[in-house]
Amino acid sequence: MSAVLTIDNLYKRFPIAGSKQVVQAINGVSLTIEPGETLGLVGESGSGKTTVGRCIVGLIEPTAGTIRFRGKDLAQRHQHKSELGGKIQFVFQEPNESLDPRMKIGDTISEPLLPLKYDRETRRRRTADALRLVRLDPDLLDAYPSELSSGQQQRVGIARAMVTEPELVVLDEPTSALDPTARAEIIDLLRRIQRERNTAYLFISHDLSTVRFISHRVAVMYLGMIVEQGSAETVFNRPQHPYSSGLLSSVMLPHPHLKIESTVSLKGEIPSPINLPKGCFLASRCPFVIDRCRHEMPPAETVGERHTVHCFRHSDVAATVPASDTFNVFMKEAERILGRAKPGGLASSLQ
Amino acid sequence: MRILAYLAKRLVFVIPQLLGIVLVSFLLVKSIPGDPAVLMLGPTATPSAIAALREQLGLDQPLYMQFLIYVRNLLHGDLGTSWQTTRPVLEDLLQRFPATLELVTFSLLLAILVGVTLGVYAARNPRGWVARVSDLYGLSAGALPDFWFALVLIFVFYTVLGWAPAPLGRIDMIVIPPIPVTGILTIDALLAGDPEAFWSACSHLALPVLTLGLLNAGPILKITQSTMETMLESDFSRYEVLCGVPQNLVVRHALRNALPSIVTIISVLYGFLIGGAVLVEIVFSWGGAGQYAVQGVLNSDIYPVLGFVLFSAIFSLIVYIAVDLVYFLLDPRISN
Repeated sequence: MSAVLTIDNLYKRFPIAGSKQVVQAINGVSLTIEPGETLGLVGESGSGKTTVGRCIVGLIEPTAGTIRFRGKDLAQRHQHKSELGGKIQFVFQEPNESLDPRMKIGDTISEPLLPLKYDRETRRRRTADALRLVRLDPDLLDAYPSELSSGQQQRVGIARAMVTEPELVVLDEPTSALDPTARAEIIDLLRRIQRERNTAYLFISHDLSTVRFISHRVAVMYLGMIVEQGSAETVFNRPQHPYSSGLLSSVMLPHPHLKIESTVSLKGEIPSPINLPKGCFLASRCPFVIDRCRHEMPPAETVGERHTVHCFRHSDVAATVPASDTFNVFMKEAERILGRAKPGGLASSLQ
Repeated sequence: MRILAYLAKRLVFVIPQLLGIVLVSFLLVKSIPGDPAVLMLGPTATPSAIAALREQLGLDQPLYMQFLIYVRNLLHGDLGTSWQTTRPVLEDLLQRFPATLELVTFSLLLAILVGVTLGVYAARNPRGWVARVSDLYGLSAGALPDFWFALVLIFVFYTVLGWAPAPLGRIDMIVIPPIPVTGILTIDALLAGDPEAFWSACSHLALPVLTLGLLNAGPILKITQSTMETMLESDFSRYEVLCGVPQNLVVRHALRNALPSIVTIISVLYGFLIGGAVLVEIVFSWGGAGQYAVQGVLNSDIYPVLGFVLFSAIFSLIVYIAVDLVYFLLDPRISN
């Protein structure tokens, strides 16, 4: 397989100032992303999903493990500078804070091209293309970010990422700062771009309904570990890890008639990432807990095609939790609503 | 166009602002105990002579009348007469205010150079040695009294090393000062094409400018450092870093966003230093406006004090309006 991105056994420890203790932010994350695929990375805040994204783009140095992009080790990203240039991109959560308030939109979008040594004419053309791609008015090239709505600002953030024609875009909660309409537009836009350009996405979010809608595969993170990873349909409909199941049962779908039924409820609070418990990190909160869980970390078990789970009792979980197709119904309903708004997609009809 | 409309609006408000400042300072100065008539005539004066002088000075009038007379004279360009110098206050101030302005302006330029440079370098590497030196510098600059620092500089550079001229005024006594045009000696010397006077004025400026500049670089440094750190940690800077934008460009963009805060602290310092430089003026016998005003306060000579307040107020208002114009240039969000 020629994966775009392969992460193998990634660890990240943050030292705490004035203390010998460390925050164990990522604890052995492994994942792959194929070309044109969206991997949804979900989990509560503090689960380490943003840290994973930032390690990939080089904003954070990993403590251990390897990240390979097209087979090239990103630890030596400076050696591969010319081949990597602009191939991995990033979209921030807060559209407002991620744009320089004093820089015109046109300059903001073309900025990632500067280190790539394109001439002025190419930069101008690519900027215009990127603006068209995200369906922003060309008049906005001379505007400043403060003159734009947050939905438009996030489109600028996406245009800026797409201008270098990346193969992988890390999207760090790109829709969580937006209202539902703008969110739907952005998701629609991202899916269209993916179809046109075969771009792979790592979509980091805690908004599970959005993740279900955009992702081909899903990785569920808990305390710096991916506890379950598989196709979006399988994980959402038949979760085999108690944490995935618990997380899914907390989802409120943006539809009045759709409710998720689940028998798994997690007790207590998420443990501190400074003193991680021995054994399974979920043991103190898990209704399926057995003695073994408290002493031994469950290894990754393959339970289906590209579907892995870290749980001794995954088959019991799968047997207890009723399979649900609520998310499928939601998907169909959402597609129907989006489809009805065509031609031009929901995005253009709402402008 | 928007800028012009804004300026017009600001200028309309200047008149009531100045009137308010004059009223408050008049009442405050009048409430200082001490009778100028007594001080002017000395300890041997007879009560009748004092009463006569009080009447002549208008001090027997009720306070509001005194104020109205003062304002009426102001409108005719008469700021009163100082009984110490026996000269019109306006003449005195026109001679002394440029001296203070020259000192303060050069000091502020030095403070900006030191503060902004150190602040930017410290923010680029918050755990580096520049950042540590800056922390120590900011702390000591805030803690050292300026007159004491001035005395240390005089001791080292005049008494011990002999590099600096004697701390007596703005120019060597044997050098003929240039014809006053602006009242600012360095500029006047340049206008007159007199290198000797220019050099002498510069050498006299050196130590007081070092004193005020180095000490007032502290707040500029602190503001620059903290705003720049925030800007460099912001998502838009991080994005530039991850795209491989050269560091100098990242810093320049961050600085562009940090400038409004830096300009604000500079403008506040500028207004403050006009009066705040007085101790340093005294140490160097600068003969500036601050020194003149303090003499006035100590001797119940109220017109120099009021004149100084008025001059400083007008100066501050000009600085603030200028700063607002700079904001227009710096921040597209305001001008749009």
